[in-house]
Amino acid sequence: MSLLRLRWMWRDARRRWLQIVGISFTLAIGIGLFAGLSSVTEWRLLAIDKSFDVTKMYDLRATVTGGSDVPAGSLARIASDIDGIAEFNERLVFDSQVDATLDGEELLVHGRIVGMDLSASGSLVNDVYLLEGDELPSSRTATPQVLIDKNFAAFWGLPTNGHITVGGDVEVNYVGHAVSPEYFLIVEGNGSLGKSNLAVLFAPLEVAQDISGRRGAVNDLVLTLEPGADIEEVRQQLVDAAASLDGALLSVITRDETPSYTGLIGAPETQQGIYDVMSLLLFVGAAFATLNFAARMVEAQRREIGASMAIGEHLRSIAIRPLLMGLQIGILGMILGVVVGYAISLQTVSVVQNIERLPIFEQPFQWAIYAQALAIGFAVPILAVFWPVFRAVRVRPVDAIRSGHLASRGGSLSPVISRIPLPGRSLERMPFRNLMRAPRRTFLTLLTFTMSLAIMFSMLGLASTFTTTFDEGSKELLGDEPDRFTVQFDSLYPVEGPQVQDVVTNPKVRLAETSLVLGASVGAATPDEGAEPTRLDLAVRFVDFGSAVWTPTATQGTLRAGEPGIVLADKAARDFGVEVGDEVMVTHPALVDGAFTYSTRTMPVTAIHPHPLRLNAYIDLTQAATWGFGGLANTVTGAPAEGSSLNDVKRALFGSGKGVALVQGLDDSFRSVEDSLAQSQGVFLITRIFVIFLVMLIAFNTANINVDERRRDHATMFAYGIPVRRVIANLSMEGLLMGVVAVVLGGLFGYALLLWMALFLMPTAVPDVGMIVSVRWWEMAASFIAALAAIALAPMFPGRKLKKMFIPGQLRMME
Amino acid sequence: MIDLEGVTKHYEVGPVLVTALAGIDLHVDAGEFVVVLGASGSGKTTTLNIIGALDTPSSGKVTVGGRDLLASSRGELFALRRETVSFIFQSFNLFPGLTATENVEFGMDVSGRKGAGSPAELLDSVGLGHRLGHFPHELSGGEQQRVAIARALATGNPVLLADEPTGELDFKTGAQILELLAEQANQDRAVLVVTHNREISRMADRVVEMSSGQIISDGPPEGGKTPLSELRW
Repeated sequence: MSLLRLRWMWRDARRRWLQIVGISFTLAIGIGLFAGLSSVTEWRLLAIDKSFDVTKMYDLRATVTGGSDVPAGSLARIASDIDGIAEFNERLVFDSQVDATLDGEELLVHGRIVGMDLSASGSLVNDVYLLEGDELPSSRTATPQVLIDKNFAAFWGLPTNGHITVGGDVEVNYVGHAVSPEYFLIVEGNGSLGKSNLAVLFAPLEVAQDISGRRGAVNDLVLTLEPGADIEEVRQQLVDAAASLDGALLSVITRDETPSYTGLIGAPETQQGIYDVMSLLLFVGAAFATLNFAARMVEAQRREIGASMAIGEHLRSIAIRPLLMGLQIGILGMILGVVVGYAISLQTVSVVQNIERLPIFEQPFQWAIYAQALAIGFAVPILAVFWPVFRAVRVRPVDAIRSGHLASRGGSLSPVISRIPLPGRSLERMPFRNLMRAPRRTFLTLLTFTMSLAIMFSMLGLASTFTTTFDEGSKELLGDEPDRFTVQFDSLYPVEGPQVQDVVTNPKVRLAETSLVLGASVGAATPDEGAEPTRLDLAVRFVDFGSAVWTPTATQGTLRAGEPGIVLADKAARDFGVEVGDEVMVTHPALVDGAFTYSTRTMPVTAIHPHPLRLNAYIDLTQAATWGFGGLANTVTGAPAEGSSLNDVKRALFGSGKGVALVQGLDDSFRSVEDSLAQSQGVFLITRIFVIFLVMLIAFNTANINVDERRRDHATMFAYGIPVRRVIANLSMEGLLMGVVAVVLGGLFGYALLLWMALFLMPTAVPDVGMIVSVRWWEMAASFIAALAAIALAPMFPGRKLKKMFIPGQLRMME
Repeated sequence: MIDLEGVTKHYEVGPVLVTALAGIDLHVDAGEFVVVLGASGSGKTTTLNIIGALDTPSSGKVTVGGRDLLASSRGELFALRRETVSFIFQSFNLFPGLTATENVEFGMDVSGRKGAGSPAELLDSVGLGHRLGHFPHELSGGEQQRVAIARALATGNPVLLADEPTGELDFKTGAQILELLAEQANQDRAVLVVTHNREISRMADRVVEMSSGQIISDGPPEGGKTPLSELRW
């Protein structure tokens, strides 16, 4: 390349640096969003896999049902007798209330103590990973020492060391913050518990036994399998072996049925579907914008290209200047794209880390994904300059260098447009005419605005859909009493017994009602032919259908007090494919002669309730007797007495030490599901910020290029005495017209996108929740008005160029 | 109508100071058809730009329509262009997004005057009654220039400034355009036409010849005013 061409290129770059940077940044946001969001799953899964490996997550977990326990060693004996088990560990896991009050701020929450054998310098299965503080001693100390779960500790800002009270009167020291694979993600199946109100304490087995007062007892077994072992066979053997446990039943779940594991493993891939759609649309939008802007910049050089042709320059030499410009945009776009992508990744990491407390969190640079995005990003501006160069060199040189009227061409829609009557004065019509004069570029600009606004709409819509879904769920649970709470016992107790009566008659409690919550497997009794029958583990709540305090709302069917029948959530009924009047098959625990067993029965669906969580099912309390649980309860619901708060109730029940495991607001656990969605919300927020940037950049570039292209028109307007502000107003109006169309199209497209994400993608990411699609119009309107304002105000930036224009110079311009 | 007294204009081109106008005096009355003649670089277009308030002189005094341009604010200069002077350009400078009618309406809208007739009447008066809804790119060069003249006339402004209005046109079309401009002077407008074409100057009432930024002659055309039919270029 000659020195002349290099100098020429340098001057081009200096003259157009603002446009080149602006276009490169537009491209960079597309590249960055695509690369940053597309790679989320890659590094999340890597971190998740490593974290589960390092903590030796179990393959199977067997739990003694019904809140009972067995002598230590009996579960180990069962495991020893089964082939295919590699390692196992007996545990004592129990719930209790925890008082973690710190600096006078009362913190009474649900606690879970996980006691395990730590004699082999840690647990052989489901180890505890220390993040901060000291290791636990493997056995008893004078004051019990435990580790506290990092999720809870981080949420409440607990120090590394401190002391807490468990079960009303046991003082415990915690010596560090730790995580364990079951609690990497605090979301549980049946009415989950969030990180804010579940304090998991990890302790040596003996310490846990001491705290619970169950010396020598265990109730849980975690185990890993040898390679090639049949998991279902081992599972069945464990269930069968429970016969040796003197009336106790073993409930066995696999790793894949553990909420923390499925939540972590499943979420990235299902959420990735949403990220992929968003990032791809934005990348395409940014690429089209780049294509449009770069092409317009080359078109502005049409006459120079013609002049070069006229003096016989080789076509490849002619093409080199525009191509170099494309190259500059491509290279700068790639560099900025990596920066933007990395910034997005860093922000995403911090969002993810807040939700998932993984011991290992690596974020290797995703070369493959970045290479893909960068290659496309690099190709776009190069391709963008090819077309106008190709068009320019195809015309006869004489046409290319011709100035004046013979050179000017109108858009192909001109004949149509001239027949469209427009109101207003000529100046007011000008913005519309200008848009219609170049339909291709108008379409491309419109397309990029529309895509950006559609993404913004769908993300705002998803956020309000989440909020509405959970608000409606809370409303359904709380009824007219927003302070209602639930007291959960650590086992089943007679309703007339002291444990339950102490709560029911407590002066801090009013509107007390006993109920029974049991897990049951439910599915359609006669599934549709050919369809895979859906069976779900539901939380069946026996409540009084005749209660004046609260009953579930029946959106279909009726609640029948004293009659058999089950009330299903709308989402569950849809998933089962059943309606009111159909029958479902329920496999449930039953109490026969004092021993637990499983029983299967068909039940009619008597009503459908609107709660979005499909796991909630209701049966009239009178029917508990048919399952063998007549006169028993494990839950009391109520409201604080006049002048009392929920904390007063917690305090009053905390010291009772009579089987109270948990006191919390009725919708607290349900609300914790919302936590699991916070991650997506965080990523949406980051994306939204970049979308706003993208819209502003496109608006800025459009205005800037428009001012350059129309400098002769503007000079003529100035020659006729039109003030600069009026010219800027016209440019703004042009942007506004396009913005309004983009808002309408973006709104429609965004709503379709929202429906698709909420009704088709989200059910795979959060299958337990029936989303209530909702759009907060005021929020949407505010965002769109902000976007419109950005588009309309963008011409202010090149306004300085207009003010400083040397009018005669532009008027005599021949092009 | 137009008064220039001792007007100079200097440009700095790098380290070189270029004198475009070297102290010119010019007076043009309403109803005069004046041709400013000169070779390229003689200062004729600079003179036109200064009269039209598109450019400011380095020194001297410029009065247009009774307004002292050097004492006028930026806003007042914009107002002068809206209300007093109208331009016709060599390359027409029509708005490509507006039809012929709308381009003419534009002139009417900026001045706010309605007395000049409707856009259709004005276009009809320049022989374009049949091209009302056409866009500039659908018109020939002569037609575009006639639209430009109609636009200038639509303002109703008393001063008409034309910079090489026939520069892009063939003889026949150029002659038609000059005829149109000459008619405007008969309607009590001051019409200044800048050209390098000596033949055109023969049809003017008065010819101001410039060279190196100075007026070297000012008076009726050599050999007297010549009818358009006798012009050749």
